[in-house]
Amino acid sequence: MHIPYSLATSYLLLGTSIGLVMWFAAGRFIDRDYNHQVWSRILLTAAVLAVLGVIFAILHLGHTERFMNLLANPASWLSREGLFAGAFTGCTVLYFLLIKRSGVEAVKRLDPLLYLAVLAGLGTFICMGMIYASVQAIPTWNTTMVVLIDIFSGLLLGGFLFLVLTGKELPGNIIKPVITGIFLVLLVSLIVNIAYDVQVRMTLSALAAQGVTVPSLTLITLIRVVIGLLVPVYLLGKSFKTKPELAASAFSIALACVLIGEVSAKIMHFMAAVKGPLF
Amino acid sequence: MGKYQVKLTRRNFVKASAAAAALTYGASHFTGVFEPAAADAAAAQEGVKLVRTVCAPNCVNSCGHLVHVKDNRIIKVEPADFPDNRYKRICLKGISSAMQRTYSPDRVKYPMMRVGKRGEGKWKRVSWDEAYDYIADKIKSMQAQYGDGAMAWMSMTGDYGIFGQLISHRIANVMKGTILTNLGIMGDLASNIGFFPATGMLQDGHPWPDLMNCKLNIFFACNYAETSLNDTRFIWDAMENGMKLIVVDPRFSNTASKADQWIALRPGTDAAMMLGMANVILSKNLHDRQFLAQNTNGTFLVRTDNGRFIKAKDISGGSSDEFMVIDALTGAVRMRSDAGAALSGKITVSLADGSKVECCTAWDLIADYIRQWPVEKASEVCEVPAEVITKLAVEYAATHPAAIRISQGSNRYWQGHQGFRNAILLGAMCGNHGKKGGGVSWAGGTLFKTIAAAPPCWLNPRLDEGYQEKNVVGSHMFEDLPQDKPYPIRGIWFNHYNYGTQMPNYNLFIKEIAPRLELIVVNEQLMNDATTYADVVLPACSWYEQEGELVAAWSNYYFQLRKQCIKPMWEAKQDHTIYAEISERMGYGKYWGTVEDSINEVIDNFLEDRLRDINKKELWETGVTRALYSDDFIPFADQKYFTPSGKLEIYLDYLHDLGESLPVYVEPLESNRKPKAKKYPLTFMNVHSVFTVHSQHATLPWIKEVNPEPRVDISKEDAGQRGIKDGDMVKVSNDRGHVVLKARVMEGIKPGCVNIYEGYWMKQFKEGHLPSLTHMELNPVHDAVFESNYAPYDNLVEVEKI
Amino acid sequence: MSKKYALIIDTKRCVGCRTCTVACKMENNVPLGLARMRVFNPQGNLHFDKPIGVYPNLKMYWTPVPCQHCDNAPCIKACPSGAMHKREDGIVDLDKSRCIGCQYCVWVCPYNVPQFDPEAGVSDKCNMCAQRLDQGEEPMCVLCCPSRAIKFGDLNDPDSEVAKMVNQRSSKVLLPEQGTSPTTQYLF
Repeated sequence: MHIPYSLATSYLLLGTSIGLVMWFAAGRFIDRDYNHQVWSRILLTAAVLAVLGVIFAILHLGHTERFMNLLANPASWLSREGLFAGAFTGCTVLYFLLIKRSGVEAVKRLDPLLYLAVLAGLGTFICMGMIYASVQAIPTWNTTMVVLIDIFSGLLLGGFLFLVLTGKELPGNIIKPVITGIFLVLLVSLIVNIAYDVQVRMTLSALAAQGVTVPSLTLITLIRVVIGLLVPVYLLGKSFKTKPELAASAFSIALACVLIGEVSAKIMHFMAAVKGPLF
Repeated sequence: MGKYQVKLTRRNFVKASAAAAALTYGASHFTGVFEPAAADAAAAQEGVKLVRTVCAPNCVNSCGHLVHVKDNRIIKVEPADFPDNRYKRICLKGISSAMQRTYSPDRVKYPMMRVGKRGEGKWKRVSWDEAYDYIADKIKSMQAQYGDGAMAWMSMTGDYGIFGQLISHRIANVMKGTILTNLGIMGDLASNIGFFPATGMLQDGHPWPDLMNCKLNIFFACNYAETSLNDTRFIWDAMENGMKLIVVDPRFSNTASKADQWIALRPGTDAAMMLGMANVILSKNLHDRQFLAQNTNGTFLVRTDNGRFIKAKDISGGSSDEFMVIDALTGAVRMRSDAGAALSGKITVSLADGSKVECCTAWDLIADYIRQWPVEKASEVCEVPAEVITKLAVEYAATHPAAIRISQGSNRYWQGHQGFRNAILLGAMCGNHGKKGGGVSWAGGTLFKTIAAAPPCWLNPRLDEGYQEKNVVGSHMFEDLPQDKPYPIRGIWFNHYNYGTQMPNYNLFIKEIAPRLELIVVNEQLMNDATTYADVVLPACSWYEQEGELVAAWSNYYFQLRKQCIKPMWEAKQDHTIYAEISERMGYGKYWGTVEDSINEVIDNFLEDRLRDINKKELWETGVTRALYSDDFIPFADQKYFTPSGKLEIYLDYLHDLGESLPVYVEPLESNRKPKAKKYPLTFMNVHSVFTVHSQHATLPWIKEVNPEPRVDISKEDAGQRGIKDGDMVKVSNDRGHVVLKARVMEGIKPGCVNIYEGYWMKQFKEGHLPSLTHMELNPVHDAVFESNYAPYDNLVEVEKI
Repeated sequence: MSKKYALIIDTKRCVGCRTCTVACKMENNVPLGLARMRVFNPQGNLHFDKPIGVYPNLKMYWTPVPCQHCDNAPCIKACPSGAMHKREDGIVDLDKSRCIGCQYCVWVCPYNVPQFDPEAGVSDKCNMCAQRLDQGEEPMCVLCCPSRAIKFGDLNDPDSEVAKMVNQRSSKVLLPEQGTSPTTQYLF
């Protein structure tokens, strides 16, 4: 199947943005007073990524000027995703702007907006996954695993970005639980991904038995599981043990691996979109 | 369609008169006659003109097209109404032709003259005047130097209109030039060579609706689902009505896939299989002796010394040309009468010179020959299991009415006429000729009848001057033309003939024939394989641009009129106009009237009254009228045949010296059992596909979407032996030429055979060209009846992976 | 009672000529490369048909696939813009002026009916020639089918030809396990 690159880009950007906002929220819960400069940087990045994500999503449409029509059918997971993504982007941008304007004092007052952004982000993740998970015609998609994959993908990317943006400035009381969290997300993600890959493989071989031409995904699976998850798990686990200082190089490699893994995951997602035989 | 249809009809009926006023001339006449379902919607569209015309690209269906024209452009075609709307139909070829061939970028837009070497493809645009001047000068000089016959015209069947078929005949006569006959080189004539001597008709068949009366139908080499697409509905109707269908074909054709039984035989052996069937019928004594005695020439006495019929004048005291029989009651020799002749018998007859000669009935000779074909032998030859042949024979003999339809697949072998003769014999043995739901059908309809009855005065406008037309047999061209036999021919003007894809032994033509020609003119719609070697290419109109044309059909008994839908594209002209104008140049303008004059002249002078006395007013007004054949017309229902004896002639004494007085079987010329098969073991067929009529539609975009490129069909077994997988590029070759294309490895073809659908243009093959594999070997039997037939399927080839 | 228009396809009559494909392309101005009416061979391909079985015991059939005009159409549920809709007469139609070209319908249709037209930036699909029906005419594929293998009519009218055919002969729908409840049915 043809891979809609702008759509894949949009998912990566939007997912990263949501993940980032979620980790930010987590950080804020852990230490309600930490550096305003870091917040601002994170929220600006999240807002930019979200807006870019929405733009890339719109670019994928055949008629970009009709993009408002996207929201017209509440029964469609795509419309729902559009609503949630819009809400998330709106909340994030607004949250950023208000904090920027009102200063750090307003942060407590604005908490509801952050919760809203997180909720909208979660909704976006679920709808984003359900767009595919609900497609009965494409058996490799037609599983709730897809929703989990999307959520973990966003959390992973967002988490790494969170560390990149804040790494050296974060106090230990935040960095420790966050790295633990990301490490756990990585581990669960590894399990989910391997489980999903096994499922996709079984589905595809069942389709092949019915005479459908199916793609060979071995290389991409290897990339996404070994490079995209196993390597970061190893590296992150290692730096986790050899705390307190982050092994900067190990971390960079882990980040690059996650990126490669998540991009290949998106490619695989669309490549595996094979329909069953007609008769 | 139940209520929907009823409502539809009533609504349209009411609207019809209102719509009529709004419509143009072309359409207005039939709105009152037929239900204008299509006219209704289009009338709502502003500025849309509806014209009823005819699509007839060498296709047996002759569909009426209702053409929707807006701003002088065809925007849609729909099937046009008929008085009998079972014939309201259209197909993918007709649609693509109207919408895409007419507007093809390959159209010949202007008269073009060659500037490079022949075949180089370099052209310059010239005006019609320049083209005419060049051609006229050339013809004049050639005729002065070599004689009038030096310029020849050759047409084919690219357009089934009356002009399309016959206009080259007329222009040749106007110019006192040569008519290169096309019947044989067309590759369809073996059918007629089998059919005509027996029945006196070139072809005739039971009308399609008669299938509803039929209980069993055996199709020999008929793939109607691809080659007569729009008639298949009658077959499925009949099958739903209980008709059993058996298809005999080396390929599991689309038609075979619909049959109750498919019998795969070795290509070209239909006659052997039929002889096996005849043997079963004879040995089980299932044959209809009364029919044979009554309606065939089986009772006629034949001299055993020379195989000739003995006539009254041969016997002492006799003087007439009448055939002799043995009286069934007295056992004496007598002149034939309506009845009472013995079917079987031997007798010694005293000749006029006093000598005595042994005679026996023709049927006895035929029966003796049939006895030489025990079913096991037939089975060995045609590779159909003996029990299948036996069962089929018994079933055919026991079922009444049972029909045989035989078509051109079996005719495309060097001895292709034999299947037809044997089919006719089988029909006679089971008394099926002329019976409702029975018969032995080879095509039908009016098209061949119009050709046979074409008025000599129109074909040869110099008839009054006592001018005798000069015919040279087209299929003998390869042998005779290089030797200037019977006289030098130095120029050929082709119309309606893409010889570049359809002619035999293409390489030989390019190497031996073309270089001898000082002038090759081609009238064409598209720059195709016919124009490649031309000196002058003249732009011809598509059906939709023609001013007028009269079209008959194989499928039915309707005459239709082509009317101009759009103005000629660019500088295209109708062949009638081109020929009239060049005649004018040569000082022969007086022989040509308008297109309308010609149509009227043809109709008014048909040699057959059922064609001549049609309702011309209806034809001109509505565009369609029925020839005067009744709805329940059955060929030979009165058991009157148009043969010299008036009987069904199953014995042909004049072919005795050629060994074919009887319906016999001989091996195809390039049979896979002959020594040549050691080097080239595969029988190469090139059957017609549903996607194109010859080359006409093969390159149109919509057609290429549903049939992108040529493939050679090869059985799994043969492919396996050669290491060929589906989609592999392979080379198909023999000692005449080669072609390179991809393979379609399939189970649907008898092992030992390969097939490429014909009609593809040279540019569609990776290398080489399909017609370079075929040959034009003469057959003396064909020449004794008509002329040698091109046998496109009678080839041996080898296929290799490249 | 409301109408339920349907296309009923008699596979016993279909000879795989693809006239329906081409006629549809003409009527609906379907661009090159797309087809609203596709005819599949047993291999599930659109060209180079081959029979199934082993010589000489072979079978051949074709499956023309127009829109299945599902009663439970996944494309309608999926379409975010509401461009894909079911008419009162049962036709699943696409309002191209609303379509945003997200191609979600292309994914969700198990029959691969909607196809994306990159030129126009919108999807393209069979609408049973609604523009012709509204004029009182038959769908173009029905009008042009040489074998008369495609029938059209109102399934809710028990006297209609299609209703009778479906009742009298064994019929099936494509991919019933998808739960789409197609109205297009195939006779065997």
